[in-house]
Amino acid sequence: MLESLREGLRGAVDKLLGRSLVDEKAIRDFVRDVQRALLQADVNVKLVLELSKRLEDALRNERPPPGISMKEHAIYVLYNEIVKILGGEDVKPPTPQGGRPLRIMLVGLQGSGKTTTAAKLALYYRDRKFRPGLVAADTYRPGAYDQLRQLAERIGVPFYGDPRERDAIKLARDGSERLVAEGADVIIVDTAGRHKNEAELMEEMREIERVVSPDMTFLVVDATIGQQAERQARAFAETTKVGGLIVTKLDSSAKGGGALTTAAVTGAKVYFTASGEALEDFEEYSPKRFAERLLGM
Amino acid sequence: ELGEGEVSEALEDLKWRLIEGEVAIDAAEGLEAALRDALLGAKVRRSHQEEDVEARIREVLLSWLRPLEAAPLENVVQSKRPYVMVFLGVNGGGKTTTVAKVAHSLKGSGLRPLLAAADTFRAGAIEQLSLHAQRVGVEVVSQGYGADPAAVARDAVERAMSRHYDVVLIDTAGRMYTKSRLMDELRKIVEVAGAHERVMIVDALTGNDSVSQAKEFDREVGVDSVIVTKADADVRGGVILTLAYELRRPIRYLGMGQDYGDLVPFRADEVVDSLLRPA
Ligand SMILES: Nc1nc2c(ncn2[C@@H]2O[C@H](COP(=O)(O)OP(=O)(O)OP(=O)(O)O)[C@@H](O)[C@H]2O)c(=O)[nH]1
Ligand SMILES: Nc1nc2c(ncn2[C@@H]2O[C@H](COP(=O)(O)OP(=O)(O)OP(=O)(O)O)[C@@H](O)[C@H]2O)c(=O)[nH]1
Ligand SMILES: [K+]
Ligand SMILES: [Mg+2]
Ligand SMILES: [Mg+2]
Repeated sequence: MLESLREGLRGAVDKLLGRSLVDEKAIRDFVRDVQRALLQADVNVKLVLELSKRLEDALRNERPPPGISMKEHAIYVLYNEIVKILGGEDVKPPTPQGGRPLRIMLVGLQGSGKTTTAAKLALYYRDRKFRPGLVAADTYRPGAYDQLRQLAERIGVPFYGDPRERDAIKLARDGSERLVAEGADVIIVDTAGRHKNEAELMEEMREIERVVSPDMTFLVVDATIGQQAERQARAFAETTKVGGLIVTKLDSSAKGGGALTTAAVTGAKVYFTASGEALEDFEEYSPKRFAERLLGM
Repeated sequence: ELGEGEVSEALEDLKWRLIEGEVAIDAAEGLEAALRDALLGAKVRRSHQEEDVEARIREVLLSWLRPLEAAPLENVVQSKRPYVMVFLGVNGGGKTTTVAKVAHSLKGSGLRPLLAAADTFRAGAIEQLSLHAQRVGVEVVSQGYGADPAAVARDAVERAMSRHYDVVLIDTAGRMYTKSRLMDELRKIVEVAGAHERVMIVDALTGNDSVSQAKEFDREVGVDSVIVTKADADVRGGVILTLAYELRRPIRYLGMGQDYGDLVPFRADEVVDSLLRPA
């Protein structure tokens, strides 16, 4: 993930490394190059300003530890700041605990990839010998029921839905109960897309979460989202208990800074990334591994 | 007269505002350069410096965005019969919903649109378009999943000719411009259908990726007009400025919600107001 963010940052770093001495101008240029790389990657403006201020302060006021050059120190400071945004240590995807079925609910903006991701998740758990089931609780988008049903059929996992039912809350509750009764141990509830200004839909999402009481609410984030990520993420986190993120569409040229922003705003970690429409285009995400790769360390 | 220092300060502030308002960085910097020329040495009243600078900025923004205002579609479609429109763009942007909205609007103007279900790939795509068509009260041409999308498009155009439909609206599968096979497929649909208008759908929430979307779809397939969707999602409209900088094609409509009536013509002055509104 974020290959080109790495390139942008590497560019800034290489330029710094190429200088004979780290003077005032070198610091200013380095900070400006880093800012530009982060903004191009869609990292939120406020985050970028905070980060560059800390970077600048550290470079002006801190003395590098003995034996470390100023340049190496600058890169180290940048690395630490990036790791902070990326969210530190690795996470493990949730699994059913103590014989209780695992309940997962997917939420997010319109078109972010929830329904496709629901099927990808089902496949992920099925491949690990769990018994996933899919619940269609989007009564809003025409054809949402057919979309999830066709995906469930394709991978051969149990599915619950009713195209005539208009009550998404009832569907979510009945579907989870039914699938558990039928022996599913990972319940995945797909919900309609919505955004922060759609008050009724935001309220509906809160209700769905209440009746499903998920062990994990995943916010599905489109990697191409820009500066709006911050406010949207805040609205979702205020309405539901966003516990993890899934970042989709990493096959675009977007660098995923909006997803980083979402992580920073919600405090939730990225668990999975998707980089294509095929159900196999899905993998676990390791923030630590990425952070280490980010600056070639 | 405005000096270097004053201009730089004003532009720095504006650039951050624009970037926060979803303008891609290249476009924000491009505008900054254009404004620098327009502002340096410009005569302003000392007592009203801020106002005068803001007015200049407004003027330049409007000169970028005005040319993107499109002629009313219900007039344009009269030029050919049937008038063939292909809707294209990345995954999940709002193509299918927008096809339904445009059909609803054309129907409201007394025209007869015919839809083509040329997304034969994504699960549920055909049911989605068919349900929309039913609700809007228009016909759809479909050949089921797995059919060649270009064949569906051709079928629809032929049907429109023989049955005297006014407009053909072709819904295509979402695709990433990074996948050349899918871009080839889209080019074929456009050719076979003899499209008069290739409409690119762009999600208003898109960040810097809108630059790649504009450049790649235009280079690989060609883009004649744009519809920006999800503009109701509390956005400032920066994507529009990015498109003005990178693509310069008319913007037909803004999508303002999930109902059929939620389609409004693009108005340059409204977007400029929104972009310049204090945070
Ligand atoms: N290229 C690409 N496309 C994806 C990816 N994930 C999902 N998609 C596509 O994105 C589009 C939207 O996906 P959906 O799963 O319908 O999104 P959603 O969030 O359920 O949409 P709503 O229910 O309308 O809010 C579809 O065309 C998917 O095939 C991905 O990682 N890469
Ligand atoms: N709020 C809002 N939602 C919209 C708007 N336009 C489309 N949507 C929603 O965005 C989601 C995706 O829309 P679709 O029309 O399926 O998008 P698409 O581009 O056809 O998707 P694919 O065919 O999978 O690539 C749906 O949930 C729509 O209801 C809009 O203007 N405002
Ligand atoms: K999107
Ligand atoms: Mg969905
Ligand atoms: Mg579609």
